[in-house]
Amino acid sequence: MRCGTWPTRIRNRRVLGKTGEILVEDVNHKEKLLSVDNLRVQFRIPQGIVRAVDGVSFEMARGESVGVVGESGCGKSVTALSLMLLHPQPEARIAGGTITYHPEDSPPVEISSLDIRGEAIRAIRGREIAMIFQEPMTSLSPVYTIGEQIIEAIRLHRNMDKKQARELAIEMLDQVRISAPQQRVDEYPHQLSGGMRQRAMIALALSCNPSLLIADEPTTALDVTIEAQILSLIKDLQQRRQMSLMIITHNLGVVGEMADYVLVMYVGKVVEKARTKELFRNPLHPYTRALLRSLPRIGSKDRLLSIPGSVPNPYQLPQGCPFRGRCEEMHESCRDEPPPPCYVEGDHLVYCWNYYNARETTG
Amino acid sequence: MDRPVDRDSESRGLSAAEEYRYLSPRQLMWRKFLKHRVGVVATCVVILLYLTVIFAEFFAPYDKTTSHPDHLSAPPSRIRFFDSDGRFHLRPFVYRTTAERDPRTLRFVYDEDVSQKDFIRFFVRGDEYRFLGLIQSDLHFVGVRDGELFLLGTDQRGRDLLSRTIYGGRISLSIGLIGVSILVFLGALIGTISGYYGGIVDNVIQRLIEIIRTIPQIALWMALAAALPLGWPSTYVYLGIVVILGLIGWTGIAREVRGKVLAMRDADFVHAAEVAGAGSGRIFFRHLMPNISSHIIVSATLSVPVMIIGESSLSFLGLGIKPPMTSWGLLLNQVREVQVLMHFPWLLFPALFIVISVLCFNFMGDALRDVADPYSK
Amino acid sequence: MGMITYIARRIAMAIPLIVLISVLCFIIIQLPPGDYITSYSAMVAARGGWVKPEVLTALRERYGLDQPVYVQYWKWVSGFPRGDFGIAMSISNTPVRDLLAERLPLTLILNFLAFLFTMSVAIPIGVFSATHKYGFADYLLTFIAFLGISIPGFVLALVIIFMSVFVFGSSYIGNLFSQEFVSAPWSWARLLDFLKHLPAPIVAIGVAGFCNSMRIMRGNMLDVLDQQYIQTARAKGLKERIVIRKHAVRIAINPIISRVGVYLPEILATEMLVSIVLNLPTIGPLFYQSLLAQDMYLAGTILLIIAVLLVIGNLLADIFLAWSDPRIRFS
Repeated sequence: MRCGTWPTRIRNRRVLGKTGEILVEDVNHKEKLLSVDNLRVQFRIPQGIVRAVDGVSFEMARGESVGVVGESGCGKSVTALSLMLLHPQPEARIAGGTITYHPEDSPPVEISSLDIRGEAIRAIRGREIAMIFQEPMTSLSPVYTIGEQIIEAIRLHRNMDKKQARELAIEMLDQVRISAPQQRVDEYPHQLSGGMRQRAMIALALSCNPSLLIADEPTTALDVTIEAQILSLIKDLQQRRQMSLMIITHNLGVVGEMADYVLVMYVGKVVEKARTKELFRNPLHPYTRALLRSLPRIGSKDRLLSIPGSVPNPYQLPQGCPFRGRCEEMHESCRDEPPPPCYVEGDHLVYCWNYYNARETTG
Repeated sequence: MDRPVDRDSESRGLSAAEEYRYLSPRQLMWRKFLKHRVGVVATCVVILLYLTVIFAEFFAPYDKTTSHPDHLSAPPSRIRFFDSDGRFHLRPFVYRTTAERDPRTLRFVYDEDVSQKDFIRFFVRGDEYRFLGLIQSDLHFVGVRDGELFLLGTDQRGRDLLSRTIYGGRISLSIGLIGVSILVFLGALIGTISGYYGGIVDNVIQRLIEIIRTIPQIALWMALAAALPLGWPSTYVYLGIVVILGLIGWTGIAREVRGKVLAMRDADFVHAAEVAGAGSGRIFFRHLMPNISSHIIVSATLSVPVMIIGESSLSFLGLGIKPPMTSWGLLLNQVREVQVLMHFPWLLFPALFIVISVLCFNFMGDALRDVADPYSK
Repeated sequence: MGMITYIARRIAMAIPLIVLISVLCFIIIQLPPGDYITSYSAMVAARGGWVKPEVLTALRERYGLDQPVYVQYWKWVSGFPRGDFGIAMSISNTPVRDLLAERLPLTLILNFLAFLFTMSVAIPIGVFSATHKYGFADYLLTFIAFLGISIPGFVLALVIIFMSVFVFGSSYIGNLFSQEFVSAPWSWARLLDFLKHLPAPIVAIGVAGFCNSMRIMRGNMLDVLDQQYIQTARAKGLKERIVIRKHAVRIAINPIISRVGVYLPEILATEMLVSIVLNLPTIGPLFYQSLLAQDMYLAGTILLIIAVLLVIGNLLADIFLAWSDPRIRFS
């Protein structure tokens, strides 16, 4: 396995430079929607400072879907929240890096430098970027009907009167395949089942036609059968609207189904980035490999493999590579410095000394 | 406490985990308690208060009935460090005062005699007393050798307010403790029965509690206190008041205990005990009680202020403690009339003691609650 | 289910409660040794008078005091629908009904105003405290809250009197009307006078309730702000102010409303004490006087009235809560 250098192979759409910048765009290229560059988010709490997101970079194009996987606590949710500046106040703050959003017909907006309470970010929330959360039970306010909640969002961003907004709300409920939407629109969340609530959440999120939908573990709290329905619904809606999707999950199966490409995160950092098929076919980072290995297979009677050790103490993150100590292929250099990014075969990116060193030795 | 969005249980730090594993529950609780600084201070104050009133004879400068006819309704003595010549004395002193009747208002005006300095000393000889009826002494914690020291002033009969407040504290604080014992005993008992047996028993008891709680406590206290026979001696009245306070306050604890028992009754460990053949009594004492005891202690601590306030209110209104006993509430009875309050405002001091003891018990209870139930807010 | 059914159900449950309470009050009435007539003649004797034995017997018969207990109870209670609550012997035989009619309206107004004061100050401050958690203001308010609940009502009344006279130099202390307005008919001047007398009692009554409610509101807000739906609301792009007001407070307030049933007795109790100290023309001082005079029928009736007021208050609060929180309605 070799770490390639510039210029790498020209994929369908673009040529990537040394550090991943886009050099040549193809005619069929897709527009860039979002770029995140070296994002760092810190939490300040009495016990100390936690570097929840520690240098994450990636890009999203219009219509693309990205899966973000990792264990609990790896920073995937925080990353997503900070894209809309929803990271919890006052504990969390963006300590560095930039988030840039490229709207359709306007100049790019540097989200990371916007005022958290300002108008600019509020215009983006719900309208350009929308988010659905993990717990449908508690994601909707219990004292307002789902209609009222959807209408609230609609009237906030679009110029509609109550009647039109209500019609749109019913239309949205229909699109998310909720039966009898005219009745449901006046019901309260507690009158709906978990699956229906999540659908209502999706309806709410999509009501203003955002360019990007972030789904933070949308099906983790649901039954497996409902999960399948919801995922297929999301995928369908995404395709129909040409919408970008960021799906956060710890479930590699979900990623396989939904994502065009995958970010694997560990303790606040991205450790591997690749097209989904490529990742499953050819996982490079030891962590990714371990994750894939720990998936149970139908028919196999082998013992389930788990990753030895445990996640490091976030207050005392070790120097060097975050995965060291649990990695099977650890070396000396892994202890001292965090590994720089390295491209292997086109746009498959991995942060691991093994590959980086291999590149150096083979030149 | 807030936590990062990714709810990682391991973000508590290794040292906390180690601590959790190696210390016994009791030590953990003790440490937790000490972290609550205000609670610790409050507990110290409470202990100090109780010590003071237990050894009232020693700490009070005068006996509670000693009257000074020359100093009726005297304001608090002014403690000075600098005398009229501007000299500084390390030992504080007061000037001797003499009373004169103002011809216009017919009230006493107190003049200081700058030629007479009475130094404040500790461990002074003063009024004689018998501690616990056994030990005879005349040693007082603070006082002056000659002259008078009225740190809080005197009342209309010339009795030192500080001394009477300390003696009054005996009654007020003891009612607090005894009343709470009755309350806790009744409440825990009834609550457990209600929760454990359920069904009709539970229903009846719950209705009863609801009825009692609907009527404002103060009204019930007043009504029952007024029902005490007028001819009863002071001590009977004391006991009557204690019983009344306890009798009406048990509902709060009963409800809490019932809730806890209900929650635990269906717990697996109780089922296990039942299956193993344990009888109700055994289950109750060995399984349920230890789990509830910490909550009971917290509730008890938080009920003491209610007792103290209850007794004070009743005595203030003249429905509570009767002379010759005295309590903080009864001392405040003197200031019921606005005129008295306006002219002799220092008579309000016992209220300060009430507020401080209630405040401290509340803080104590708060700290204990943190220790006993870390998940409650 | 609907609101109507809910209301009807709650009213139906309240009636037996009131009956039982009347029994309790009656028991309390019977507690002092001897009966009503004994105390009455003792009182008369204390004033240097003497009642003829025939009068005593007639009174005994009238009040059925020679009858078994349950008959007496029935006699007492049966007068209620007629509006006959007995006679206040200690107040020159005025019918209890008249005394109550005189004092009840002001009592209700005062309590209601105090309740409004408490809530309208406690809730915003509680919200503020929660949104500025761990700030200096928060710590200060917490300490004040503790202080507030540690001061007994009557002490607070005394302190307020003290401060009003000495610090503010106000003479609007004691009673709700100045001398000249006490029996005067209503006019603007009287209203103004009334309003000037109000701050002292309302503050005294409201303080303890305020402190409790503020802490509870703060706690509720903190709970609610942690909830996911607040995040959803923000994600829609709503202004923070609206998120707090429309979503957070709306839900955080429900536990407080549901606890109104607990506050009402407390407010009423504090009002009674404060009124006694400040000598206000409400029910509290009347109750107090009746107890001192051992006029137990008056006292018992007042007790019952108070309890009924509270039951009604509870009912209203429950209804309001059902309207406010849809989850309750449907259970």
